[in-house]
Amino acid sequence: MSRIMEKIYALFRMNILIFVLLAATVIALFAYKNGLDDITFLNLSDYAYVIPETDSADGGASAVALTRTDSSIIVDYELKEGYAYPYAGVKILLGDGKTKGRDFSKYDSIFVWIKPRGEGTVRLYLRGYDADFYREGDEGSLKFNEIEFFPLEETYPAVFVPQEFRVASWWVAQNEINVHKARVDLSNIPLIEIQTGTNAPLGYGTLEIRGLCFKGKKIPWADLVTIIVAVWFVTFLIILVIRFFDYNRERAANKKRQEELERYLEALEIEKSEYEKSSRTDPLTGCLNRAGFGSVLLREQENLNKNGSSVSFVMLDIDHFKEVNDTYGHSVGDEVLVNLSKLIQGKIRNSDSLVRWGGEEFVILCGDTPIQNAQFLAEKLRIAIEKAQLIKQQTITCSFGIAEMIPGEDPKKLFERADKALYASKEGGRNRVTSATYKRQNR
Amino acid sequence: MRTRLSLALAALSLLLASCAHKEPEVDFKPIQLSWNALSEEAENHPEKDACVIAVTAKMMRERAVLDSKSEVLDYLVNYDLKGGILEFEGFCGVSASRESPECRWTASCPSAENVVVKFHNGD
Repeated sequence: MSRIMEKIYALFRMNILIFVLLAATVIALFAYKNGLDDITFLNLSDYAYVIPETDSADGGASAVALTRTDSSIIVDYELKEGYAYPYAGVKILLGDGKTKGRDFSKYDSIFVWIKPRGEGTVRLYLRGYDADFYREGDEGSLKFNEIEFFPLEETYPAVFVPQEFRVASWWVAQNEINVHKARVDLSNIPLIEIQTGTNAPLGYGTLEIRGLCFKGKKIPWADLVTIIVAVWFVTFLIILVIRFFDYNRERAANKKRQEELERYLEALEIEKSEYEKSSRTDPLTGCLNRAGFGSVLLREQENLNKNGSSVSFVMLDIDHFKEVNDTYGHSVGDEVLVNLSKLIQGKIRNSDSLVRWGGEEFVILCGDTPIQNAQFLAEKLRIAIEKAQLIKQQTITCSFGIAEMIPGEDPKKLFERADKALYASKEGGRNRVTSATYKRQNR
Repeated sequence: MRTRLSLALAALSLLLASCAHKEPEVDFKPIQLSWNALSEEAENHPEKDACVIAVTAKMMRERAVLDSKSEVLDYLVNYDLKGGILEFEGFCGVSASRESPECRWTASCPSAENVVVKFHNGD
């Protein structure tokens, strides 16, 4: 249960605005359904502008008397012959009673409390003002929005909706009203008339009228729906704009983050490359160390095994290096090593690899080089080293051992051969080149 | 029966042993060559380097050299220009018996491709 609640919370947290909007919509609909009523009640018992009327204004002889009680008005009348359609009733004036009345167009139901004491129908006129056909001082020019009905005997009110009203056809005919204007219009009602109906019998009668009630909503349904839709639309528009800016901000942040990561990555790559390089090179001389030599050897071995391309080793050792160190100190010894490696680097090919094998011992790995060429190179180097002034204190010489790799041979054997050749150079008096020439024997 | 089985096992072992991959055994001979030009012309000859390399290669493949009883062969090689051709003459150093057939040889190098090495015994 709690997980469901968490999910719901997460959902609403993410869309809090939508949730609020949804809640507001539900509340608005609920309030509209159960409240927001706009009620106008005309309690005639205490309404001052109620005037009795009869057909005498039209040449009839009917009579009427109006009395008020605590809760209603009593209209006693006597319909007499005289006018073709004898009637009696009351006029209720609203506003100025002529041109400025009340707007009942916003109401959706009209309640009328009338209790007859006689037979026949009752007419209710909501007299509308329209500037197009109103004649000054002529009450008859107010539009007759009418309904005629049999009042209920009970105390319940008669209820109508505005759509049930009609404009009196005789009034349309008399005033030659355009059909487009002959529509019910309750937007300005300065006068309400309640009269006996068309077929009211001659003689005495009474109408007890309590009042009228107009009921509607403070906000019309269409307006409410329009407002809700508009609010939803605007809200989504706002969400869209916010999301758009959020997206842009996120994208910019991501781009920045990505750039930072790329920079870090680049720095790491450089660091890694430097680390790899430093792990493969001798820090003093800058040439390869044994670790770096492995990959070069592997490459040359593959070359030899695949293409039969000769690989030769030139192993060299500085003669009497210990004495140099002991006599002049290690810094001079280091100087010898550095200068020697520089000299050799300057004389070998780019494809050859110079390796500091350890201490004062170096190896030159010469790819695509047979032993005689390696011997020649070593001889050249020997002479160059002897002639060069590696340090100012004394002449430095080197002894060389050369060996050529045999396909499929264990490199250890090759090193042994080169080492023995080097040993022979040392034994032979140093400053020499010895090649370990070989013949293969298959047993 | 037991004898036959033993023989069969021994033959199988021999077969397997002969089929097993073995590292080639290398018998090598340390050679030192000290080159000495007898004239400036020889030293500056354009073919000198190629000839030195070619003579070295030839020497290193010579059976007399490879079969030498000396542990180390230490040659002093003099070379000079004779009739426009580089001529080489090699002598063993102190480390080898000078009487050995591989201890004296001559080589001529009309071009690096046509080097001829002759040992004093005529090989």
